[in-house]
Amino acid sequence: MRVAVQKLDGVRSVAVSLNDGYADIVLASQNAVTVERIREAIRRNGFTPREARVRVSGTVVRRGEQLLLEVAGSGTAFLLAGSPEALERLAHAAGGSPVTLDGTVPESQRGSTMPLLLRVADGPGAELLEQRTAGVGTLTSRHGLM
Amino acid sequence: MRRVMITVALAGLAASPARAQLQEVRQTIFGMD
Repeated sequence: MRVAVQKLDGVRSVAVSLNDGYADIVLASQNAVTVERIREAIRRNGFTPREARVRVSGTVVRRGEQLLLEVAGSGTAFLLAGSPEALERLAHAAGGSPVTLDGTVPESQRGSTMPLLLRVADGPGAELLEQRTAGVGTLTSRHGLM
Repeated sequence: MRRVMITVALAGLAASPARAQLQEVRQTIFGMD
């Protein structure tokens, strides 16, 4: 499985811990990898991918009542979920400001065409910070990933 | 603490100004099918 994921274009490194039941995957600075492609590679090797913790960069856009994180590199988007406070802060970034988020992507149904849910990390110690420099807004999370 | 975290955010921007993609994944995996 490690080799299969490592072969995906844009994957820099893979470390698998079968005892603890996870794979740590680091992506190259420019990549078009998606969570689903990683999960497909894992499934093909006989394992079942469950939820994933991710760090992902993109831009926040509004779609009606919903907030999406568009990931330009892969042409995909996550549907954002989280506490009202976290979503309110992200809403301020809507409209093209780049953001980097830590969050959790729940287990997905194979073949689903729905956007993956990205539950933004929140709770104690996960305060989102906002920094604006020369008109560019950045949100990052204090919540550690790994 | 706050000052430290803001520094980290800016450092991330400086290193990769146009990043817009998946960066890191810890994917939970469950046994063999």
